[in-house]
Amino acid sequence: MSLEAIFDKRIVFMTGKGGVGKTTLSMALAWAAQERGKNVILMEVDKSPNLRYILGKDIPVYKETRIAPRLAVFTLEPFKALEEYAALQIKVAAAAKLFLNNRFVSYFMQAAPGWRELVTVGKIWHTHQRTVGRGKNKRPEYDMIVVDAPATGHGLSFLRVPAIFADILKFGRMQSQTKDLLDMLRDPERTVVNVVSLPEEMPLNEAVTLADMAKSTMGMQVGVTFMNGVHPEPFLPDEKAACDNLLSDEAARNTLDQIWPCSGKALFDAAADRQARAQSCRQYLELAAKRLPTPIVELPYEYPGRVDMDGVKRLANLISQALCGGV
Amino acid sequence: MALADLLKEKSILVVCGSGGVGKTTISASLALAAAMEGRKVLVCTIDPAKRLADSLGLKELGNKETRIPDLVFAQAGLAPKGELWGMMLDSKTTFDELICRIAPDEVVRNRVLNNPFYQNITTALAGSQEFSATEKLFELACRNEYDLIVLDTPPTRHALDFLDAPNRLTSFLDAKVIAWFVGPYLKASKLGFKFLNSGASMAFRVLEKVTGYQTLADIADFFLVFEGLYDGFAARAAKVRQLMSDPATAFVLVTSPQSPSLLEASFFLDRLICEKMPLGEVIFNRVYTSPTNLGSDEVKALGRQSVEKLPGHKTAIDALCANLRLAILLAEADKRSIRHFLEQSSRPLESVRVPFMRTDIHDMAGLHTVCRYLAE
Repeated sequence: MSLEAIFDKRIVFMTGKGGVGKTTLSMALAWAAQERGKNVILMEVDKSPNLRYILGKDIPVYKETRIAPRLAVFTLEPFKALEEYAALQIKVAAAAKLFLNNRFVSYFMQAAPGWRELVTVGKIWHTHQRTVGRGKNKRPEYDMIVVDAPATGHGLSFLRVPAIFADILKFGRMQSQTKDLLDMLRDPERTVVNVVSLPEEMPLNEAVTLADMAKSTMGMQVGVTFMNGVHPEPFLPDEKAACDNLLSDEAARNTLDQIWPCSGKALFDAAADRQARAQSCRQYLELAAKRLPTPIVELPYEYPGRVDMDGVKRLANLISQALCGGV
Repeated sequence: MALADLLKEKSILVVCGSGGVGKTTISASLALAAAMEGRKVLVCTIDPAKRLADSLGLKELGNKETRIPDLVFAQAGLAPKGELWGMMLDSKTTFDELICRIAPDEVVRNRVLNNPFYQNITTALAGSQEFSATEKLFELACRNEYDLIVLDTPPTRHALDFLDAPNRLTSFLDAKVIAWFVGPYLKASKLGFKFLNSGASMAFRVLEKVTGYQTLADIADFFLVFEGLYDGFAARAAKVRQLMSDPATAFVLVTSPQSPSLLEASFFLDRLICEKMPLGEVIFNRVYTSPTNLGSDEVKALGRQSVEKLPGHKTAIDALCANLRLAILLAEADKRSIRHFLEQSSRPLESVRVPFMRTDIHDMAGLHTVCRYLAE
């Protein structure tokens, strides 16, 4: 698959360990896609505080909210999805309500495992099926759905649930519906999983596991790994040479120590801090290239507090460039 | 209570926090700190970094407790007065062991263990990891072999999940639900579906329609067998809950100084207070620190002075000053957000700060560096 083809997929999952920047990069990818003329929806599986920070405002849960002409965001909520599903199945809304409000059903649903994940994938499937227009003009409502996967457990466990249900459901309408979900997840024409990671030990380990799990266990297509938070070299080459030069000039350093109240050491300490971080990132990038089966897209570290819509647009540009070679 | 005292006096520390804040590293460092001071400590983790396990001298952490060999400490120049043990939680094994413990005989045990529905509950599905973590903790605490157990909670986006999951599971297995499920199933097998309770009847018919009869039969069979085990299960869950609010237990909350993580942390704190769970300490991890007490403007002025004296080094001095000013800016931002967080809290909080290290922490020496900041 060419990297550019990611923009032609209908459903793009973004997964990775908690805290690696999945929400930010999901948003950035969605933004990049809408800039290329696609009609995009970003579906957030778990309500996270990050989206609120990026947008600078709260968005309502389970309501498609348009934030740009070709970009909507949507936060999933399993109970709402279940209500919607039940209403579709039972057809009579009142009966669906009666069913879900049954004391035991709601009790059971509070605790029952699996259905949350299943209705979540179901909602994604349903959104990808929706069309607008009639006759010749009939087309999917959204060209692309970017799914910000949950961090809980292994970020992809929610995608395993349809397979588990397909196993335990022997008959019934849900059995065939579950099969549709599996077909969607496993179709490389429609669906791709991207991994988000950081150039650090644990996120990289998890990225390797996730990429492998998506491919081998779930039979899904794996696209790219976004290496987020790469600390850049603090100095340009000529600056670096000049610093080294200063460092070896003892007379100059003595002069600095006299000027600076607590010696000039702080200058060099701060430089060493950032150089060490950049070097550590380089090492993990090399390791990642060896261990990951996917191409790697590097994205620079953003300083805290800078992850707002402008930051997202910067990242979107970089993603576009990396995937499409400067388009 | 200061963190150093918690490490001396408590017998359980539960380390919580949202994903990616460094829980595993902090847990290992807390355990190491207590072991250094002479306690016999076990650190339980869910998903350790492979290199962390390596650095502890273990090929990988297994479901059994393993003692960290002296050699590993010696290589880092450390001589702990106590013992450090490590283990990794395996959710399925923990569940199976629990069933074996509460099942009255082999027939019941095997019927539960072999039920497809049971197998699904215990593996990939949400909440099972959290439940088994607390269950294992209870079992270990009962054995009374360790002075201190440090529990690194499962990775979740929301730290609160850890508190909710066990309850979710027990109410799921509640006897009333069991009766509701098992009742119609038993009647169905003899008489076809006939229900006295019309609400349940309708609900059951819908469930059957969408999931298929066999599935419901599996679920019902699971509940049927489990019914006899429920009391034992619930009693145990209640004890686990008790252990969580015991005075010898303390929660340690790990957070980064960034807003989204702090927001999660404040939800978690409110909840702990609400549940009357004992909060020990807040640990701010990966905090930017400045290598100097100077302010950004002072650095600018000193930089100018330095260039006047050393014009030949202008490029270097400008670059170094710009870099130092960035470090100061970042440190000030973190300081502000931490201060704001502590001021907003409804009650005074004990806290420590662990600086953003130059490199990833992945060996004994690295853990020991973190210890120094924890004990301060």
